[in-house]
Amino acid sequence: MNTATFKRKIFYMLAMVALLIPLFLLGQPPSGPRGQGGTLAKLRERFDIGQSSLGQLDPASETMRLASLGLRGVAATILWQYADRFKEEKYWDLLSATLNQLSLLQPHFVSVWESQAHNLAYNVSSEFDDYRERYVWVKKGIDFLVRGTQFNRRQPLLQYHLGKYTTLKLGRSDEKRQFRELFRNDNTYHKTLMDYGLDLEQPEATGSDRKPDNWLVGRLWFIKSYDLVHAGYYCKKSPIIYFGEAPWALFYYGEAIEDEGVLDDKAMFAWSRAAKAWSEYGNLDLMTTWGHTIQLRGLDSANEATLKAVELFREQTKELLPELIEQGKDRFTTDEYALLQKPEADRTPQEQQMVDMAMQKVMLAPHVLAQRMPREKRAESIQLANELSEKSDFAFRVDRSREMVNYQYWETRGELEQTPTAVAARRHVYEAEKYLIEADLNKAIQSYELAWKNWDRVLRRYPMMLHEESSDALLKSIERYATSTDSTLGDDFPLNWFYRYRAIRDKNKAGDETIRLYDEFVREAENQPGNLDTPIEQ
Amino acid sequence: MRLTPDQLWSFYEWFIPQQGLLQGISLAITLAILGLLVSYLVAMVRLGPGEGFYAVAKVISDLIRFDIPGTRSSRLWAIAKLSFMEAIRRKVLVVFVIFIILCMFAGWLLDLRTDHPAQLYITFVLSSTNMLVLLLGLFISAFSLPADIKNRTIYTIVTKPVRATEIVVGRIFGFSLIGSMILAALGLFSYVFVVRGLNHTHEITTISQDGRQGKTEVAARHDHVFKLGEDGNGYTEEAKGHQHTITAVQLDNKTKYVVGPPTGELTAKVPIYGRLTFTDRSGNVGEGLNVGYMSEYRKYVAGGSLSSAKWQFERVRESDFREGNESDDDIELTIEMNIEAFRSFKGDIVTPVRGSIILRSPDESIESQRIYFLVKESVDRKLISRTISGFRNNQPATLDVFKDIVMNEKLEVIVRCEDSQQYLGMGASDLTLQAKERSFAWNFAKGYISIWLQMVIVICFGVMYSTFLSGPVAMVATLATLSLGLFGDIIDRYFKVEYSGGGPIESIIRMPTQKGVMIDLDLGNVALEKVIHNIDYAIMYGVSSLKGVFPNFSRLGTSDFIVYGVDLFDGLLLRHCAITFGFFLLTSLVGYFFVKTREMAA
Repeated sequence: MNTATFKRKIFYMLAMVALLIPLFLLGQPPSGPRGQGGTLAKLRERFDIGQSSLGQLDPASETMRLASLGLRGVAATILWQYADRFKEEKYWDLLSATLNQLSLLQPHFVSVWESQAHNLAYNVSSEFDDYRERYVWVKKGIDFLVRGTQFNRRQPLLQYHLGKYTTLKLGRSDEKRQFRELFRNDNTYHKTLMDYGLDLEQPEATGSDRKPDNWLVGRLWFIKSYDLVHAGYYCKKSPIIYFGEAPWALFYYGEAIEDEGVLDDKAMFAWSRAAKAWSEYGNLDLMTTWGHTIQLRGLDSANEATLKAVELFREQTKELLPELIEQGKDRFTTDEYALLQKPEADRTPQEQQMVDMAMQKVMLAPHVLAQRMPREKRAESIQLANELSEKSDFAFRVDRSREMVNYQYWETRGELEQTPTAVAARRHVYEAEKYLIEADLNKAIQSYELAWKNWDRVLRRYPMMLHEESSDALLKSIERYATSTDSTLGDDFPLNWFYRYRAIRDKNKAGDETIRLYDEFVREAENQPGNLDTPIEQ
Repeated sequence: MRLTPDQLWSFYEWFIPQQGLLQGISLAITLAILGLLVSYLVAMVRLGPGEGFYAVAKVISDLIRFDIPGTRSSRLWAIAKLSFMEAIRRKVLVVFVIFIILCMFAGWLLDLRTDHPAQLYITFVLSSTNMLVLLLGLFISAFSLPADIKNRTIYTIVTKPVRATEIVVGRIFGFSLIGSMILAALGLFSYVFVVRGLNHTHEITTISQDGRQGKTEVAARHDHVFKLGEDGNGYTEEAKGHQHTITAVQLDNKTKYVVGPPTGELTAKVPIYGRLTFTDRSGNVGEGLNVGYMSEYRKYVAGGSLSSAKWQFERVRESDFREGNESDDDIELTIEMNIEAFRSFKGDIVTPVRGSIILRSPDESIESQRIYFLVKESVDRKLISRTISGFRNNQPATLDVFKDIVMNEKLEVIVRCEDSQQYLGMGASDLTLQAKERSFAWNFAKGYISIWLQMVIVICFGVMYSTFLSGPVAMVATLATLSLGLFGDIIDRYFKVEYSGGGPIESIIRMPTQKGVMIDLDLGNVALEKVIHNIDYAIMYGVSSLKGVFPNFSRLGTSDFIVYGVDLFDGLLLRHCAITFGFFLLTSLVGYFFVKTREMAA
């Protein structure tokens, strides 16, 4: 053999053997307890990105990925394009099959599961006219997501979406009645969900008829998602909204069963459970975008702390007040100036209020005021100003966060709807409308009249309800009553005040008259709260 | 299943009026002229202008005077046998083993929760067979001749009185023979796999007290509800694309209900397609409405107006609708519809949108009364008995569908939407008349014949490339031909800029720079971007044009017919046979030319 060729061959062999050593050190798979294996295996372990730690290993998925011979990206791109074309041309079965193949090729891309589940449940389902067929496709979307959770066990977002689809898509769409009914009786599907680890036989999942309810089942998905977040996995959703989904599901469950005619202690229990869950949610420490946590029920304490800080700061800086008043003298009216000269102890509450409003015209920002303090008090004043600013910002953020989730509204609603009078009011309206459909006018009128008396109590006690959807529905019921009885809704009509208020509000929107009337109702409710524990049944 | 108008042409219609023959001849002439020009240029470079012309002319002359007349079937058969044995030696039978392994693990790859398992099974066997057999054809044809040339065994052939035509055509025949054998075995196995895989039955779990309805157990991931007649026999409702018959059997003085095997999922329906036109709200000829969808396939008619869709059918023969030994009176006209509803307002979501059908004679003097229907989301089958009430010259009359309304084998079917402010959508293939079904087994076999035709084309191209390219290069060239044929539609879409991201040069820039396809290229140099765009356009134009010369495998594929249970039209299959023969002639001639001009003997 040629010496040069021989030498070259020996060199290649030695190089291969030498390269095997780093290859082994890098790529040795783990074969024993945790922490074993090569460098790459250890890194996977450390960052938790190993195949098996992401989710279940599916032989079909692995086979398809191997069979694509490194062209997985090309195959996935082509499949996405086919999926889009099938959707455009309405080849639904081919679309479903293509999405299945895509999920096998890219099982750990959460966006594949998210976007295509949405496609199936929302876009494809709406293409069908028959609600039963729509339900089938919504289920396919949900099923697609459920399979996604098997491959991505540490992705709270997928469970979250499952909760959203099961609650909102089945419970708030136009076909909600039909969907809820189908879901309730879909025993085959319940078994499938139970195979995926969701216990649908527990009381937390079953509704008033002891069958799984979509709102309650959706809530279970939300709770599964929360468990993952509490275990340390990240979910890219705002915590304030995210953690509110589960208690909201309970509220909507209460609404749904009342809408379906369950207007007894089961409804009261449902609302009571929802109110409790909402209160627990209000006590959670929720991270905000401002970089700190808040508690939604912490507004009162935040406001108190702010007031205290204001008092301290005022006390600290009161020596500057005369100077400010003098400097801004031209901005005050004569009366205001006179009141400002009056000692604080001699002022009536209304006068004090006027003084506070007048001082707004000349008051400086706390930090500016603090800077004007004498040198020996300046440092302390600045500190107090900082504290005031912090507490005031904190209180503002808590308030803003509460507004985001309409916390006050749901808190009040939960309190109100669990009362016997509220349930009775709804029940009487429901019965009245049933009698109207059956053309039994006498019974309908009797039920309506009981309903108005109970609603009168409810609305006087909780004027907030005057602006809600329930009040719109109540108005329609009143109009049906008026038409049926040829009544002009005179002064003896128990909800005359409500009817007039709505007429003014609908005309003025948020005009002065509306605000004035509403404030009156609020004051009346505060002064004479009324008792909602005993409904009017005669 | 949607068809394009050209698929509905008969063979004669395609061949002469639609100029199939003319297109083939013009393509052949164009390629011949181009080929001769290129040959002459190559010969001119090697031998000079005069000698070059002489060399080309000699090859043509030899072909016409000696090689074609002198081709002998015995020698063809000898070469074919050699190629056959060579392929066997190359262990091509492993394809069979691969297919069996695929079938064994089919459960992993198939989503058995689908609503149409029959379609899934058939798609699986047809797709995997198609791919395997085409790859088989590719590998055995591309490497054979180059291997012989490399090993110098070709000289033992060319030094004998074997003509170049026999070398090329013999190999094509030999490889086609081995491919046919394997395909036949795969086809048989696939048929058994499909039939056995879908075969199942159910036990009855619940039955009502009156014995008229009930439910079966869950088997094969589904169950059925069923209704029985007074005699205890009946049918289950359709689920997963099939039904079962239920028979009452007396056993030990007790009635036992036996559920039969599945029916209705392995079919070969014979649809008769009509020509679709629309009228507008005033009843005048119109275009049909677009309700906002991107797809132009379906057009819509408005409810509560004179808007309608009209299908005009030809070749409507009574005998085509006779099932078995039915008497004349029992013959029914079967209409199959797949109509879509579009609501402009939700209304009563529980009740489907209503439509109506009218059968009318071509001269519009005789029409049936309205036959109302509720829109179903799946295929809706209407059986219309031959005796029907209607109007003759606007006078009420009792009509015979086949004798009165059908005239000269022509019939019109009009569909209207009956719900005001709602719409019904339909395309040309969405309403068909269903003649009696043919055998699924024969239809399945026709599907495999289609695959065989594609395999023969691949073998022809493989052999052709192998006459002037080395083995691996011939394989890549054949693979490129196959890819262009399979993915030609996607290439056309890129060329028509239906997909974002530009062409190959722009893609090479986008990938390392991580620029998404939906944003502009933005290199900061407009002139450079323009140059890139123009080069890409030229490349895509070239590829798109080249695609037109090669066979369009996606159009030659007919698996959709088998999958959706529609009888594969004989005219379409004949057309594909003609196309295959055309490519066989073309590739044989090119291959002959290269074998003739290569200096095989030292």
